[in-house]
Amino acid sequence: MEYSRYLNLAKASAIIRAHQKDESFVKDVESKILDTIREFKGAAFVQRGKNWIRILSRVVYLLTTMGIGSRTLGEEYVDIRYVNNNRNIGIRRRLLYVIACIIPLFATRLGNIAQYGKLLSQLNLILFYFFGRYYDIGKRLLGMEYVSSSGEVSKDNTNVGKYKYLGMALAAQLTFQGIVKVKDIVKERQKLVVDIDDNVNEKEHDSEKEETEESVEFKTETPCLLCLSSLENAAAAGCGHVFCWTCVLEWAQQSRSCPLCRAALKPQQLLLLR
Amino acid sequence: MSNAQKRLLKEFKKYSNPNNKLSESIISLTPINDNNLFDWIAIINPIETIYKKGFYKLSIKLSNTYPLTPPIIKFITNESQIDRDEQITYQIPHCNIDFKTGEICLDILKIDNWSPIWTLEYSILAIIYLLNNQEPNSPLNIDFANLIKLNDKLAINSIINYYIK
Ligand SMILES: [Zn+2]
Ligand SMILES: [Zn+2]
Repeated sequence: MEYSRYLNLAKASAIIRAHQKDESFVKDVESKILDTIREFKGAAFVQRGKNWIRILSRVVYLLTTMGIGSRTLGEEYVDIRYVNNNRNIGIRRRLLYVIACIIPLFATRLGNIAQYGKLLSQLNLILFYFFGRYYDIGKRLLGMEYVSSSGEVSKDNTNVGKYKYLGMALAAQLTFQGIVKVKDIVKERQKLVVDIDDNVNEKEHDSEKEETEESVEFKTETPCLLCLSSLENAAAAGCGHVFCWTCVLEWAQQSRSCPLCRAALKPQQLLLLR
Repeated sequence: MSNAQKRLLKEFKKYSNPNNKLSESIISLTPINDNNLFDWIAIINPIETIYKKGFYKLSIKLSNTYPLTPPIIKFITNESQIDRDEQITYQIPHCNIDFKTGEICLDILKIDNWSPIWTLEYSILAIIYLLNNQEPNSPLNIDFANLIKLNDKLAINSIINYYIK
């Protein structure tokens, strides 16, 4: 290894701990920002802007730590720092990394590309579990490698230890998912040939599939009676009837009665179900 | 795509799905053209009412605030000569329907009584229900309201059928 004897390649476990620590700090910043915005703009605004605020929090946290050239709190905690080809990482590369954090904000607009992004970050994680070094894909692309200034020298030069078993498990899972996906595609193709003239049906099928892919996170069987789609951020009114949060809030702005039972509907009584 | 468009697309898909039978009284319920979901036409044949021999055409106009605001539904009474359909009856004598304009007086289609869980299909069914449950005390057609009040079934039926070809 060409690293100086003071700097050893950071252990995978240390890198993961640093990331986890940073995540919890980002969460702290996020909840502070959420509280402040809620104070001024109300709960509905926060609900609508949740994605923005989440990423804003991350950017604020990274700018005030990594952005000014110092370490993040997580990196400090486990005592690791970045290098690239034995040199310290410059401010430009750090800023580029912070800017890249904004990309997920456009994930919904990117559509299919976002899915490839997800796949890439999974592949990255597998590589990390096998070979260490880059826990997230941004750092891999920018060549931001971690070294540890602590004296521990590990015996294997990849520093991953038992994490490689996790990598194997993840790789196996991904392969399995891949096989299922390919089978689906093949089936879809065959079907397309069969009902090529049944155009309407096929369209219906496609859009249904899109929908299930979109709403994996909050998949519920009962649809919201206001938008007729599956419930998104289910919210219960005082009377117990459940709708999407944004749907019922919009309705509450013009009417103070439940759409279903006409019971009094108070926006402040709406309960977000998680 | 706005919330209104999303919801209307859901409804459109539901109504155009052959597995999903509409009420027998509703012959068709579709947007005038596929590109504009805010302008629909319904054709009804209200078989379970005293209007059962007629086919009537309704225009349904929606705004971008649907379903927070109700659809505006009217009987079509003055279709231009070109679009006229021989099957359709353009005159409907009913207490709560304006004979000239086709305007309908139905409380659930008024903004204060409207509920966003009601769909276009439900709204049309409510209008069909209104055909047999006339409300002569808040009339848009005073002459016909008087006839309903007298409960002269023979006269009522003959006037309705006079306009049906
Ligand atoms: Zn909804
Ligand atoms: Zn209720």
